[in-house]
Amino acid sequence: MKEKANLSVGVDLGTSNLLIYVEGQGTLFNEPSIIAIDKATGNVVSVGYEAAKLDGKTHSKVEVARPLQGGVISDIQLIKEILLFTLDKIFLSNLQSINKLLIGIPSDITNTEKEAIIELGHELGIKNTEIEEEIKAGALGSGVDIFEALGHMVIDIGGGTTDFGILSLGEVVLSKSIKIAGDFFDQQIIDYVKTVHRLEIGNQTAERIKVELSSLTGPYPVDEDDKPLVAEAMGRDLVSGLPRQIIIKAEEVREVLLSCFDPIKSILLATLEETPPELAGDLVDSGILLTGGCSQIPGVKEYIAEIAQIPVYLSEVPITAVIDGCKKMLKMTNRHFYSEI
Amino acid sequence: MIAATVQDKLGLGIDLGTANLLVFLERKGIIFDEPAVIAFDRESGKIVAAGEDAHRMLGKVHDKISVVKPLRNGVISDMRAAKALLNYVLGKIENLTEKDLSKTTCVICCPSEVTKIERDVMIDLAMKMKITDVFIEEEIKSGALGSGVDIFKSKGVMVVDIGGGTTDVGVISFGDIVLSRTIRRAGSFMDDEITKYVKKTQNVEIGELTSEKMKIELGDLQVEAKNVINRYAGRDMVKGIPKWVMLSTHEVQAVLTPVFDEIIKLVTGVLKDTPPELSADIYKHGILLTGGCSMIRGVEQYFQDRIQVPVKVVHNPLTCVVEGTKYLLKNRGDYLVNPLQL
Repeated sequence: MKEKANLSVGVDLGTSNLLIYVEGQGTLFNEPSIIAIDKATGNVVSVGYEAAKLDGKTHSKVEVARPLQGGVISDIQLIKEILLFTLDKIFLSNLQSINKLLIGIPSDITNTEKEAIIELGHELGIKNTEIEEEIKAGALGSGVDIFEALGHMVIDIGGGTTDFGILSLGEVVLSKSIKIAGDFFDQQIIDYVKTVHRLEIGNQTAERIKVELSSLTGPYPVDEDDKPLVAEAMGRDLVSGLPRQIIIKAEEVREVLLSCFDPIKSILLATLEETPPELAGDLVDSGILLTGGCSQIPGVKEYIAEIAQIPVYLSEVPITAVIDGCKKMLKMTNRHFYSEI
Repeated sequence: MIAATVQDKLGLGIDLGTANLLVFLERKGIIFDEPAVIAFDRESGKIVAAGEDAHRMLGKVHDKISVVKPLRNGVISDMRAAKALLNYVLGKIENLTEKDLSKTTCVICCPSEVTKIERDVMIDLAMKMKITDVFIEEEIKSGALGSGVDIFKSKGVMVVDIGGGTTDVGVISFGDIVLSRTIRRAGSFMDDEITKYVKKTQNVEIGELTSEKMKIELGDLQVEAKNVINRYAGRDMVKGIPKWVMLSTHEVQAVLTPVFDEIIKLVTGVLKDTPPELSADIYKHGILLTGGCSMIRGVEQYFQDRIQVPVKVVHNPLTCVVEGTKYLLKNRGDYLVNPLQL
């Protein structure tokens, strides 16, 4: 099959999820950015959901790795592998057909890392490789008109990092990032269960508990019969070493999350403090946009609104906002500061 | 013969103010009337926006754009930006070649008390645009002409021009300026004072666009001004979070009064130095107010109460200076030639 030689591809290189958008074909890949590699041969065993299922369950012959940890690149070679594998999976093995590659990156990535990513694009044979900050793409993908002379604030609570950004005239005015997000919440839940219940649980279990029970303010989540929701957690007893099951209550998860959100709160205030007054004034009207997977935790919106005293909106597409933004940016031919096309 | 040369030559009148740039082109009228602000792309140095669009960007830009006001306190402070802004404006004129520019006569208006160097910078600016025939005129003279006053009679006229960067006060008679003074107290100074006031009393920081808006919306010097309270957005200095501030007409009045009192002091100072024969004329015909800040409500009455002569705001306070260049281009500022009769 002969393919067109001018495909544009957008990639959201997130800590927890990898999304790939191909122009004209939509978002073709939306799976965890986890890769499983055969240690002996170095071959890729699986990527995405299949690799995530293996996390914490593998034997010594397979290594499960996350190429991005805490929002930074921990292994550029693995990123190349994961990109090649996924592009192959979505029938884009012919890299020559890709004309333009746009990669969304976290805010506080260093210049060296930026160059490494662009270099990666070149290694794949794609000359026209560009990178964009995720918060900008996220805002664009959520339908915010970032090109007007009006301040907007975006908070992206993702897997590895929580990014804070002030946008105006189509570009990031200032941004801050903190390595406290989804993964950190999971880790804190694991630690909590370990200290309080003397039970060791895995990443997958912790994430499940977070998704089922988490809430930050307001009433605790209830099931259909109005009974408070609880979650079962199975793991290994620290003392006896035997498998054991416990019940986790929503109150406990909230306690853990609230302590996690303290640093997020202080960075939020620091960001607002540094915002130029004219833009800070705009925020009173335009409010704060929340994106990223963890913005779906019930009560986050109210929590942030309470701190900042300004309206807070949830993105309608928290998971795909960045890739949707990449999609829009791929369509733009040059840099627009003032109005959208 | 004069008519023939006028046909060949283009006439360009420029009012390069701190707040607004106005350009008059002979036979076309006013071709540009927008804030004197320009925005550059830092990387490429290209112009992103100018005028109204750039003004809206003030205080709202990211690192990739720099927004520049080429003038500060009535004089050019950023030559590169001033040149780019003028180039941008001239670029809008159709069929304008460099050859045309070399044949252009250009008049630039400036505040009254500027140094020789500052005037030379203005001429330099025009030279850089490849305009060879440049002369500088004082804003008050042009303003008086533009507002329709016949200054070529031997009758004293007093003009007070409260603009963006400077306030000029001058007495004109027989086609030229008898005496004039300038202080750096005008629109942008008032904005700064309002910003300071809000910071001091409410602990809220506001940007320059907001303070300008406060001045325009709430500025009122009438003794029995109706108290209006408006809501503006800024940033709480203590907590750092965005916050609404409430500001009333009375508060703005309290801030503006000291500024206007200084202007009054300048006006009385000029009146004191005016030759008595001209004083009599001024007493009879009063004072003309021009410039953007003369549009603040109650200014007329405020001056009248304190100086005891009739005060009148001209019908075109924002554009009178550039409209006056139309006449100045005809007589090159020569007091012997009355362009009103040409």
